[in-house]
Amino acid sequence: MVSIILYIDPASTSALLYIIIALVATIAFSLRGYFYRLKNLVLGRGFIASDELGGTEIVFYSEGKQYWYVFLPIIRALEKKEIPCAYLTSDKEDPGLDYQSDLYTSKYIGNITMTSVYLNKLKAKFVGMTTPQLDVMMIRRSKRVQHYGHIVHAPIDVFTYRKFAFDYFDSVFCSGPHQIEGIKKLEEKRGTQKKLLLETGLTYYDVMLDDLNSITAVEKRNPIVLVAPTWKEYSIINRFGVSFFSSLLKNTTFEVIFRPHPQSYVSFPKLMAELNAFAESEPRLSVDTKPSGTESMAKADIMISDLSGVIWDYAFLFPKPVLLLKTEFETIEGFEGSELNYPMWEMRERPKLGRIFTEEDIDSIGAIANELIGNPPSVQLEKLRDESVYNFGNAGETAASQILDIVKRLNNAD
Amino acid sequence: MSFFDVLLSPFIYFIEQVYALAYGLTNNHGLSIVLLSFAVSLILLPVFILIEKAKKRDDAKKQRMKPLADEIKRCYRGQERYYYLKTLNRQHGYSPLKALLPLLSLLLQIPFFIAAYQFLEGYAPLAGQSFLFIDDLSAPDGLLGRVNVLPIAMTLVNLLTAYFYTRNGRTSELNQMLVVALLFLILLFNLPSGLVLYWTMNNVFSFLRLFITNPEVFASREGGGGKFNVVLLKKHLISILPKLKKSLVVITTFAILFQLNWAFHHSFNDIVIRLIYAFVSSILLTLLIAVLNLIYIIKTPFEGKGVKEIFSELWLVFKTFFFFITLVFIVVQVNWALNHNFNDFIVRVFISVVSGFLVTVIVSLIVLLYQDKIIIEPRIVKLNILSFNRRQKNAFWIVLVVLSLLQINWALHYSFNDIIIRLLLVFVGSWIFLVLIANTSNEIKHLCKLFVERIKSQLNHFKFNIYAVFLVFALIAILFYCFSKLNLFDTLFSRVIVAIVAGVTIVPVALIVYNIAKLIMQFFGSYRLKPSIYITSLFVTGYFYLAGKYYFPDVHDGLLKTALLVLIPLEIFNLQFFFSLKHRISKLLFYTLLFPVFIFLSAQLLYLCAIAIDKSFTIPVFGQFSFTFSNSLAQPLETGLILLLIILPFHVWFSNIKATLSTNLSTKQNQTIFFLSVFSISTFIFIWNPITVFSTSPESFSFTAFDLLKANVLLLIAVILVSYSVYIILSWRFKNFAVKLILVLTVVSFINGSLLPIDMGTLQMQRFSDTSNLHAPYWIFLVEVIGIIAIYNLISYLLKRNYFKQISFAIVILILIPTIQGVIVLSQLESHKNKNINEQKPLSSSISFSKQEENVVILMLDMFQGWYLNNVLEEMPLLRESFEGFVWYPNTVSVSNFTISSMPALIGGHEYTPHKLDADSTSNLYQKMTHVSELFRDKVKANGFSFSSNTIPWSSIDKETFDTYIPNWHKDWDYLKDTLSIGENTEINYSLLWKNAVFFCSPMFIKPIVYDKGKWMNSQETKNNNSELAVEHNFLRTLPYISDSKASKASFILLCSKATHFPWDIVDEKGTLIRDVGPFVNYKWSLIQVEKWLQWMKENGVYDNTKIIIVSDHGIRHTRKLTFEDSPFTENRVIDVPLDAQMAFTPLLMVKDFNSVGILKEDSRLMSNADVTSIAFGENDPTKTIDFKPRTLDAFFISWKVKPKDKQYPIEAWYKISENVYDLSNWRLIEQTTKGGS
Repeated sequence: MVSIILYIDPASTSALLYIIIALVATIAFSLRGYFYRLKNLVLGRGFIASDELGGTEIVFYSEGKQYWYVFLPIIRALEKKEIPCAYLTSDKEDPGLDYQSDLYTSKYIGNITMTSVYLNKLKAKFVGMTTPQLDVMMIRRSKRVQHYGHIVHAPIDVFTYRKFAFDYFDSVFCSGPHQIEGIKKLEEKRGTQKKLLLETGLTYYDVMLDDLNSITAVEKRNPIVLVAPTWKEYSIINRFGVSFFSSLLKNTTFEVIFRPHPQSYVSFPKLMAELNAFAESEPRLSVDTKPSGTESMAKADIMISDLSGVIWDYAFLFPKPVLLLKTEFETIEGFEGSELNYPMWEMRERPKLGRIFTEEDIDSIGAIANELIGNPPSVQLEKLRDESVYNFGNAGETAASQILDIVKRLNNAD
Repeated sequence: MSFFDVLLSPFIYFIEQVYALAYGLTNNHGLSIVLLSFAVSLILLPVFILIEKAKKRDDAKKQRMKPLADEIKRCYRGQERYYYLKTLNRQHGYSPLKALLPLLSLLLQIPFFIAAYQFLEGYAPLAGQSFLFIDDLSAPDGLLGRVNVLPIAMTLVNLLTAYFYTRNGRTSELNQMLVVALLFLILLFNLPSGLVLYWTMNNVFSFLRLFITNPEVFASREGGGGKFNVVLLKKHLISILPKLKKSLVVITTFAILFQLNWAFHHSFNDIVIRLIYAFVSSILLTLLIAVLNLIYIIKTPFEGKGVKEIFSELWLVFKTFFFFITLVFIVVQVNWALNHNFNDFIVRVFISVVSGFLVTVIVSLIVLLYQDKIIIEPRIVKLNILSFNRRQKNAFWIVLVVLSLLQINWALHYSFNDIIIRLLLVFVGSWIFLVLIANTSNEIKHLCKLFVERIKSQLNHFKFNIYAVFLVFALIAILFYCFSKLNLFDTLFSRVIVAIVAGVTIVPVALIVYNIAKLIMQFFGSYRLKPSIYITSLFVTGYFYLAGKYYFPDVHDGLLKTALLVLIPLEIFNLQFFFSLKHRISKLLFYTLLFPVFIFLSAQLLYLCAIAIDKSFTIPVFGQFSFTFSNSLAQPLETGLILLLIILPFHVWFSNIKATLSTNLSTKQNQTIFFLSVFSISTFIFIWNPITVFSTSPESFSFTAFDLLKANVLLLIAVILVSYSVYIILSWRFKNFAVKLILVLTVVSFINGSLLPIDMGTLQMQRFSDTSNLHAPYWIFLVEVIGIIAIYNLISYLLKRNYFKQISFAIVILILIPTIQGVIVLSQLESHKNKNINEQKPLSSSISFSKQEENVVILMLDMFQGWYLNNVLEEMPLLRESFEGFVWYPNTVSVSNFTISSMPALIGGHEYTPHKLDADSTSNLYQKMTHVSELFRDKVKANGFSFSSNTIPWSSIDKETFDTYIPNWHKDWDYLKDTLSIGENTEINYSLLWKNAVFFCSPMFIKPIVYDKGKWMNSQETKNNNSELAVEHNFLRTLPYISDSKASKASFILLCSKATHFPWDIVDEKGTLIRDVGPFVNYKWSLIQVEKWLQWMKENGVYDNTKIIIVSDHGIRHTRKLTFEDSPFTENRVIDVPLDAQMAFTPLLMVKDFNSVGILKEDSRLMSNADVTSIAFGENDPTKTIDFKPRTLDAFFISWKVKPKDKQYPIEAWYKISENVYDLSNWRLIEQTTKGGS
């Protein structure tokens, strides 16, 4: 056998190497895709046929029980209009599975991996979901679904969404104008298809408003302060620890409810143990670990927080003042905001919620809170809410008619 | 054949074909390699363009994606990152898969590379072939002793390509390209120079390709940014220049001292050359240092930094170098291990890595020193041991003790005689050692200063600058050397005088020449050449060059002189243009080009000198190699043309040549015209013309018209596709030019192929019977070149006037005419078709002899010269014994000089001489020949024989009427292919027919190149294919194998072989066809084949009962180029008999009667090849006549214009010959006509 030496000249070599590299990269890239697909298939324990929804045109998908209240108002509104719909969830404990109606079917479709298999084969006219990044992450667009709508479930800006959050939806049911602005900017920048951006509002506010009406006002002697920090490094508890609470309780009559982020127990167990020990020794300080914070929020006269998303719900629903720790927003690298070059809505509007306090104010935090409770900026909060949230209290109805419009248009197009 | 080989075979076939074609064109192996490389590059060019486009597009996309991709990579891991990157790709339309598309087609080039390697690596004909400065293409060039120049040149080209390619910001690819360049330097360093040449040219073409794919990299850049910032580099270079100068001096000093030292020990014989070597190598070394310093610019200062920090910073700068050099070392080791063994491979690799590290350290130290990053404090030289610090003192003591111990040890073994001196020496030595160590840096610095100062001050005395001095010294040295070689000046005295005179004269001469050249340039510079005139003169030069160089049959000086006349002014304009480029293109490119321009220009001047003194001379250089300047006109033309070609791309790039190339047609119209023209030319060449030629004598071909169509249609499609794809990749302006060119081609091929076809007689065994028209006078070429230019201008005019419809209409007509003609011809051929197919089916596959009955064999060896047998027998006396029982009749006259005119008499007897056949004016020569052969067949059968024959020339006798038809090849014989090393059956006449069409369509100056003296652009040696060329020879070789002795009936065997016909090739034992061996070698070979057959007959007991007649139909006809020694003809001639006739009328005749024994006898009675029938049938057999009466024989000289469709023979002369054919006084001219062929 004649030994063979490959002949390549540098310029062509570079072309050749380029080819080979591209080849290898492509193979590796596609193999990875197959790997994940395979992994998902294995973990999803096979493939499930998904034609069992009986030709329902409108389908909702929820990735967890926490989103049930986002869908509930819409499902109710559709029911009122006698339009059938289906509800799919990846959470066994989703209350949507227990909801009963003639026009409603619900189904648990397995964990997120199984879900992706199921949803990829789904057949429907309209699918609404709170999960972003359709067709980016594991949930792909099904060829048999004509329209995908993303239903926004927080009053926040698009900045803090992960990359490509909305790019492959056909419509977004926006909560406020800042979202429409952000999505339009992203569309422009990326050259992605223009989406239908609907002025919908926040549907779960409908439910929460109903709940609030049912909570009976408890007579209280002392002002109640709700401390609801995030779990990250820059949060109030991480920066000040026990000293924050002792400062807050010192020289005041506050009853303090500390509602830690569940993640704090996971990330900072030592700190949490310390705080719990402190709470046990301090009768005016209680720790709230209930799943829903509505009760605590309803009780509290003021909320102290840092960058938690819950401040908006508190300010908009109740509307009561919020005392915020001055925090430089963490880098938004890796999130949608990194491609947008204007200040994000949250940071812009934060000061309007009440007052910003700094590290130096810690010693006098009780006095500051007292002052804010005395002069709540209620009018300002309501104004901000009306500017930032469409159809406050009536978002479910709006969303339902918007969905029906879309379905009608699709039917006309057929 | 392995799977791999099967995959490769089409590429090897392609390489072989291209090489064969190139060799056919150039007749020079070196040039063929260049052309091969060019062809491969050209074929791959579209692919590269595509890839480069894709690459640029993808690069741009990647660049746009980069920030976001980086962000994603920073923020995410695993699955999430993957999905985001995928989406990013999707949004930018970037797909790794899409990038693959052009890649797939690019993979095609790998087989080309392997194929070329396989083909060239062991290609035997390259052995001993020289090319330019390479002595032997099958061995490394070894121009500088053991150092090969070609691989270095190749690497330089690669580096140049890499430099330009990465100029465009693709710096990431630089390292990769450097590695590949070095890898190839190592891989190819010791390979045959032919292979390296191929690769070098490939690299040159890939450099040139940059002009097409990345022209932007050549633009001059005014202080632009990027990695290669020229201004910055320049600044940097200036900053280290003083140091470089110093080190040059130091290195040179050391090198010279070393050489002198060597000379004192050995000899002073070649001291001048050695000193020059020393000087040159120190310059090279200094240059290397400079380059290293330019590549690795260390920007950060190191003051106040920790060792670790400095090291990590330096590592960043030098890590590439480290990996690079280590890789090189490892590759060398791997290479060594592959060749030898892997025994201590691990150790070797380890050493490689360590030495890579050491080299890196040394290089980085050099760079640091040169860039003043390590500051050596000027200290007072410490000589006193006490002034050293503690560590140095310790070192001193250790060295001292160790060395002393060593001395004592030595003394213990040998003698204590001079122990004191030795110990003293040790003390002094270690002291010096220490002082040296401690002070080296200072010392060197000091030395440098001293030397530079000294040389500077000395130089100031002279007004010359250093370069002039160096130049003069070098020239003197070369002169010395040359003269010493010539042994003209043996004494030192005369040498010195010569040196002084040369030194004194060269500078003013150089100055004068320089100034004159400048003046001329200025003069020409004031006039700008119009692009149209430029193109025209370039074309005219090329035209006359090709016409002159390939003139038939030999180089034509007048044509070459014309070319030179046009070339020289054109060249001056071009040089002027070239120098004006200095400020328009990148400096590096300009100076890189300046070098070859200078080389070619000086070579051309030297060639012109050789022509002026009309003597070739050789200039030896350093005794290592030499340049020979012959006084041939072609060489200055070639150098000049190369020069023009070097400059041409810039002409196209800068000047408004492009504008003159344009037409006024729309893209679509251009495309239509181009397509129509290509279609017109290629259908004519591949289909219609071959079919027309085929139809003139379908019987002559072993294939049908349908086969021909099948074979050529593929080629036609390929040609159309290739030209079309080439057209597509051209830029808009060149598309216009291509349209003009193709139109000119169409018109010229139409004129040459259809309107005024050249008369070349008939095509016989690949040769034209008359080549006098190819031997055209000068004015024909003049008319043709003017004609072509006129056609070009006419076409340009028509295109400018937008005569689109008219032009397309004209081409459609040009397509229709031959199409209709061809279809008519084809329909007429239909009748032949059935018969032809039957002929493909042989009736039997063997030649049967009868053991009992008496057999007769007639073996007709076409064109065997009778009296050559004398020479053959002299050389091979044993043949006399092998041809046992044979009688040779040297005094034999041939009826005629062509097969078509002598064959009727040969098988019919004296009643069928041309003269007598002419009496019948109703049937044509074909029909007459067929009729005679039918009569012959019937006679054979009537005499009770079974008739076996192969092909009877010029007869369309129905072979099914034979008892046995023996084809040239039968598939039953395929088993013989192994025994006789016969390759696959290939049909080269398909290609001959289209090449013939190309020949006719070509203008005069191309025709000889296509015809190639009958080789049709095929290479000298053909692989052992059983092609049309070799099948006749192989048939002779197979005779012993395809014969049997099983026949029950007496057998009559008539075999006609063309193996002995001009152009006299043979097939050797290995089955290789060796071409143009000349008649003598061919005849020897043929007789050996016949001898083998006779041997078979003897062994099978059919020799004695078989009458064998070996005869030729005529002797050699083409006498023009043959020289004849020992001509048997006597000179006392009465009439003037042309040599052609003398040769043609003396055929071979050998007869072996039944049961005849004894060695070969000679019988000088007057015989004729028309006697064969009488001998065969034993009727009035002249050999048997005891009382042989003197007789007179007819010999008819037929004109070359004879055509089978004619009714009568064009007899030019009719001789009557008596007694002795070799005595010209016996020749009588009966009739001489100038009768043409109807």
